[in-house]
Amino acid sequence: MFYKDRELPDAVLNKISPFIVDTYVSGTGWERIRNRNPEVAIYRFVLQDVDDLVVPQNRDFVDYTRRIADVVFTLGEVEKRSALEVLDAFASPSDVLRIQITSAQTDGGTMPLRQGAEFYLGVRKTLLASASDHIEPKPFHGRMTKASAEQFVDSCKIGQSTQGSYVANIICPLDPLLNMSASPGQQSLFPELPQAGFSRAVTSRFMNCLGIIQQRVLRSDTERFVSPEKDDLIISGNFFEGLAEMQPFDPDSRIAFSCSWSPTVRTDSHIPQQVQIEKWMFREIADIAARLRPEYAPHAVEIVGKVYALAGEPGEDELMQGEVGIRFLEDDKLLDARLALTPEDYQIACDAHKLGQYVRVIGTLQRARRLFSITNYQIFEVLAYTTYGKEVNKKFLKKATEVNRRRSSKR
Amino acid sequence: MFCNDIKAELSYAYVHAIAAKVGCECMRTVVDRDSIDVAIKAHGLYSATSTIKGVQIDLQLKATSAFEMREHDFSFELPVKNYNDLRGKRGQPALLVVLTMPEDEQDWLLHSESGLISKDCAYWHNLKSAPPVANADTKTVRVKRCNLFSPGTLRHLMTMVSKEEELGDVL
Repeated sequence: MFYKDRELPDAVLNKISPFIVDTYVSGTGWERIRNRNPEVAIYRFVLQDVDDLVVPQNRDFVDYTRRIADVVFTLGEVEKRSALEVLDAFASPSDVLRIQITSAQTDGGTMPLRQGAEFYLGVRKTLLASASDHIEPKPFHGRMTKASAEQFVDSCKIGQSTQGSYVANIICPLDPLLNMSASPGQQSLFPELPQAGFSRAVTSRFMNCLGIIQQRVLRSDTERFVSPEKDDLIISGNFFEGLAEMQPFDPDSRIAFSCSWSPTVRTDSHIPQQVQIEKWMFREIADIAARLRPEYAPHAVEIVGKVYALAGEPGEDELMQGEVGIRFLEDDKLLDARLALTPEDYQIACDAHKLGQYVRVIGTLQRARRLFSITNYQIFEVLAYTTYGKEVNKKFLKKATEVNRRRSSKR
Repeated sequence: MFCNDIKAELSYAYVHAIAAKVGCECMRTVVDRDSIDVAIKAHGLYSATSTIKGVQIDLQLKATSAFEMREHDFSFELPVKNYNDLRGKRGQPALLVVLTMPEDEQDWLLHSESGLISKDCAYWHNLKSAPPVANADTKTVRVKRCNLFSPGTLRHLMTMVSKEEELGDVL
């Protein structure tokens, strides 16, 4: 009989810390028993009569690699999966979010393409919102661009779909630093403190928020999302928007969320194990999303900006007229607005666009979702350079350059 | 096979037979990570007084037909790598087992209707906490004749390990 350790790569085995193994086995049915040698930890499996697990606590052991291989093989036999799968759970620990859509359209394990595309965009948005909310809890994030939040979402993967209805598995890798360098000392110093890095904090928050949303919708207590009480967990409108985008099409449908937590990091027992959102709840969710989005009340404006787009069409009189795009500064932000011009003013806009001239507009600025528009305009005229001065021009150009640079770096 | 390979196989066969006699598995390693050639393993509680379920002792096997047997021990030249690996701290106990063999190859394994005899005898040696060695290719170890690697000895060693008792130089 041959020792099975040859099947596992040394380079990976050597990277696995005793702390990770201890945390993993403690969370998967093994209980530590008293033993004499403090440099090994011995675990006994409570659910089955199998040999005890000997986990080396000293990475300087001559046989450390072999002992870790023994642990991996034993766990594989007990968990009825391959040693390589167990090794992967140590080396690349991840939480796996499981999202099951039950509806007539997904009974065969497939989903219409349009729904699928919106669903996964919603998943991404919700995870990004969860990460952004963890970094900076607020009712709405204008742009979710925090580097660590984006990094987390970019590291997530879509796993293989499971059989039965449509089940999406979203693999959320845990922080590499947490797992490779953690030492046994950390666990023993703070035994009650959840050992959570950023990734675990985000996935925990994700499940927590879903649980809270389900409960409050069921109790018709949704006003608290808009006017939270003192110690309430802040759930942003972005999270609600993402969730709304996931909603299934059929009337009699539901989505069940659950998470398979990586045993290499201790989990908080208060986090809900499964949350089910019924189709009818999505109406409430969308309503909360809309209410959490910052309001933009229409107001009278006098703006100075540049024409950046001409989208007019010939009218009945065969003269070009209609929509143009104006770019302007408001509160140090560069905004784009559309307005519909008369044929005469459209002509002015064309010339201003061609010559790069500034225009002045007086009208009502309003916002629908992400788009601004100017309605009921009274004045549309080209401004002479001397009227607005060099300072305005410099400020405008500086802001425009900043925006363009940011847009190009994202591509 | 070359002569040394035959010796190696016979030493493995010797240990395997003794392990089987006392109800243990004998697993041969393929990758030489830490100077271990075989792992002797027993499942469950090995004895009524065992505290650990499942017990294992790792062995480094050597065979020699060039030795001088003294009254109480014999010397064996062990490569320094093996010496250092076996004296170092480990998660499971590890022993050196040396099979002494006759000079004449014909006497290594004798077969008749009445039995299969493997000559001569294997001895175990515990190098844990042995002193360090500097600047050498081999280290001379003095293997005690009282440390016979027999079924009774192996059973005793496995029982000790299953009770988390430290293995010393002798039983």
